Amino acid sequence: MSSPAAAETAQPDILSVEGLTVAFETDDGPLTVVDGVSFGLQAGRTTGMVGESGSGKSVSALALLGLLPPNGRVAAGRAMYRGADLLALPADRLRPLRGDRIAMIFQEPMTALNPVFSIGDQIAEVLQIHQRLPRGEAWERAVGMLRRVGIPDPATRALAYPHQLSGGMRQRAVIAMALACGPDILIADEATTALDATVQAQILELMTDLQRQYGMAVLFISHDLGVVSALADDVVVLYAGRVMECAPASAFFGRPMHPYSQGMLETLPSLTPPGHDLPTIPGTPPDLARLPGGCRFAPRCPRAAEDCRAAEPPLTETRAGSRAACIRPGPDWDPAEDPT
Amino acid sequence: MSGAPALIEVEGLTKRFELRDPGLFGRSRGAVHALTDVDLRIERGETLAVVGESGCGKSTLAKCLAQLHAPTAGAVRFEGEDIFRAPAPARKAIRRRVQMVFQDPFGSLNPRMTAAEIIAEPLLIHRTGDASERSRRTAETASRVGLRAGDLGRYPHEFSGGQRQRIAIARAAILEPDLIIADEPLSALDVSVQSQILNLFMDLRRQSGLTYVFISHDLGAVRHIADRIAVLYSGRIVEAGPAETLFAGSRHPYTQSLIEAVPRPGAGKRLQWKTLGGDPPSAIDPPGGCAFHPRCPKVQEICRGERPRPAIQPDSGPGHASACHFAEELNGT
Amino acid sequence: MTRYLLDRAVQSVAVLAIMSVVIFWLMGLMPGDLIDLMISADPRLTPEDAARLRELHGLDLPISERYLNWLTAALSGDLGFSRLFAMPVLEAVLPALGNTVLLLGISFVLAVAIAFLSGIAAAMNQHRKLDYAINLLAFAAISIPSFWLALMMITLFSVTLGWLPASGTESVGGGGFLDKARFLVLPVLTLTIVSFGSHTRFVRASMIETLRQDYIRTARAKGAGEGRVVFRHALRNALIPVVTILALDFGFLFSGALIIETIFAYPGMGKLIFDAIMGNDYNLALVTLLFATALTLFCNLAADLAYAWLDPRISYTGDGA
Repeated sequence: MSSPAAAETAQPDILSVEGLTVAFETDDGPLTVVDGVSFGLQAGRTTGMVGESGSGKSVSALALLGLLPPNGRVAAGRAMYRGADLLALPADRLRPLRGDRIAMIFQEPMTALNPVFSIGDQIAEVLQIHQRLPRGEAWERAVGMLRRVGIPDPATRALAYPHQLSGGMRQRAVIAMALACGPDILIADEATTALDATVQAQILELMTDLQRQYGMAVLFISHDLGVVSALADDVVVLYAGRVMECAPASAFFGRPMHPYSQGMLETLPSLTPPGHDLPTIPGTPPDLARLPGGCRFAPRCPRAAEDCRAAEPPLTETRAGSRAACIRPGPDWDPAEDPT
Repeated sequence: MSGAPALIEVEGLTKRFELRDPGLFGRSRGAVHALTDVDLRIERGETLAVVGESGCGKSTLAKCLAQLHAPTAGAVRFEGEDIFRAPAPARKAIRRRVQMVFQDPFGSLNPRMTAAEIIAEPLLIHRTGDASERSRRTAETASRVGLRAGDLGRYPHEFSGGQRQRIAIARAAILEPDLIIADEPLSALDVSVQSQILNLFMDLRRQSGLTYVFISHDLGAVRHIADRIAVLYSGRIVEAGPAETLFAGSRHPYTQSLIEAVPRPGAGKRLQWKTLGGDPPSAIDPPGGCAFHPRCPKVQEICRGERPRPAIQPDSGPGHASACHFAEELNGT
Repeated sequence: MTRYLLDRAVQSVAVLAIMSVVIFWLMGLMPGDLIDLMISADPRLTPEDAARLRELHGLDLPISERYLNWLTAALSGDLGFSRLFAMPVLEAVLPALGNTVLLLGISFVLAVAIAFLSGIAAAMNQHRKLDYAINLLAFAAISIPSFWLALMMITLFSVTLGWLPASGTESVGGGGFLDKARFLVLPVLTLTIVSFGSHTRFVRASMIETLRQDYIRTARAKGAGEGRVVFRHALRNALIPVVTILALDFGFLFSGALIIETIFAYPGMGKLIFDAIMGNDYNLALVTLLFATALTLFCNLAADLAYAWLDPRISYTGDGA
């Protein structure tokens, strides 16, 4: 499982996203919230997508599944999956892929489950939709899935309604629902954010195990660098709708190349001795309607110079397998000084 | 520890919420045991972090300290005075000296008041100063928390989450309280903003010797700001002690699991996990014996039957107490 | 569950008891009584006769005693005698109750059915032409005064076109099912129109709110088609708040029926209440008003039970969370 990253990256992408651009229609005209995002997913590997709220990570995921809200649309880009462009597929050809080949799990397991149906019902429904299983057989399979995600006494728990389960159990049920059809791709959007620390660890462990069993590609979206570090093989960093850095996890956490990535890691309290002021990234993420010219991180960047404000830097290779959208990439941050 | 009264001393604090069926003949359905028999001392100038998972009682503790809940039993003493048995004027005076910052900077600010009005409101409530003094103190406090003077006329929705939390902190700080209780003040904020707010808390502490009760589930932030930590589980303190002692040599399996559960960035992909099974316990029907025993990796027979009392760990750092039957044996894990 | 029902039954009886006191007392405040009416009808009555009659009817007693007397009789099954209809009150009330339940029931079902179809259609096409058209119709229906609509209906369908009868329940000499149905058309139509508008607005709002929920997104992410998303995942959730509003609205429908029944001379509870109060028929007014109260209480109970049936989070058995 832990063979060298180089050997694994040779594997072809199961999903290859290029130049994904999403715009929302607002009262003040169209607003581009995802701007030319590219990344690839490979079977058996986890790609961690990190960014703050408004960075476009959830919108990117929703766009891939054709689940954008009514005022959002894909303005450009391709997402190639088994020879088809997901972004160009008509709704009636994308729908059969959703929940079957490409599954998604969401942040809040309470609100993501329908409160008026039992969890067994909700898991069985996926199998009824995609595999046209009769109800009884779908129910049996649902109970089996609940067992696989570690829910004790699954035959009884299948009858429970979401409110009768704990947060961790609910998220297990959501995962069971997502994996019921054995998807090629699993998109997890802040899947553990709403959970308590010990329960989060359980779910992360479960996802690690299930990926080993099913071998699917996972896109793990999170704002929590610690969680991403524990799970991801590759990391994609989004800032204000654009990819800032894209690298294998070991390279990224060891030597982040983009100043934003470095800032994000440095601000984490676990890396500064207690009581000392934390390094901060000054300011706040930009308003997407009033982006600065040039690099959108420049106003907050300690290395910004005149040329940074001239044009938006493209993603360029900084070292083998790593790319950063920065004119002055480099590892200012020395992991040797890590006090932990 | 000393003869002088602590800033806050909590003794045997217990809070239960009765559950009752609706209707004329609603039967009692037991109670939520939010806090049971909690003892705490908070010295002046110290930062105490209270950590634990959802439902462990940490917010209830905050609300009891801030007089937002009356305890079912036990006492909270402010400089030796039992606040729930004190006469109303004394309670109001204490309330003025204990301020609170809440998790959600969206919900805790009145959307129809300007930043200046929000920050100045405690002065009005406690009838402090005249109009010119109030506006002077408002401007001064706003600048201490890093708000620009030009921002004061704006309404909460015009601010980012971090700026809103600054307003909430200014509101808490304007009366120059002795104690600020911050209930998950970072968790609604973006990562890059969290460090700014954490720094602000530390700045204010340096400037005015504030005492904090810092309630959080984020162990990274807690380790950074806290002098002492109290770990709550199922409404009881299971371990308490100096922050570094707990992180370096916790003597309670729950604290150890909690620290272990938080993934550290850069630690690399985890293929093996040492996770705690099960869910946080029900507050309505907490487990007997040690409340942690159904999840404890080191559980023994005695844990099921007998509740361990918090015991000082003399061979560990000063003031380190653990409520585990096998605390001594957990040394150095 | 039995405990919950028992609880609700006791509450309902308490409400009815309070209502009976209030109504009795209010009617005692009304100027003039039965004997005054008798005097005006028969000027030959002497004041002595009147006093004797008052004593005979117990009207000389203080109101509290009169109430207790009435209550004792009512509890033993004697609801009194309707002076207006010259028959026991119950015999006058029961057919009217049947007529009203028929009128309200049909209108209610029709209005709710139309409201669901149009409300869901509007919600699914939010901010599109169909949505605007349905909203326009709904607002028009809300804005039309019911008495005016009733009169326009009569003018158009009975007077001008002569298609439908304007008043009553059946042709002189009685008629079959079809004949009775013809008499129902106009009052039912009027009541349906005046109530469907607000129902449509409720259904639309509830549906829009539900379609925004996370679990709807989950359903779509599962690959559910639009029909499954709307009718399986959204509808049941959207119904939960609507049911409560509809039950509360039933009381409003009842007062609407009072006007409609009077205009269409439809012998239902509304008209009976109106006639009883105008005719100073205490016994009848008291009982009809109590029946109206009971009907509203019953609808609220039905709504609460429907609520529990729709929403597994609501439990009246006590073993829920």
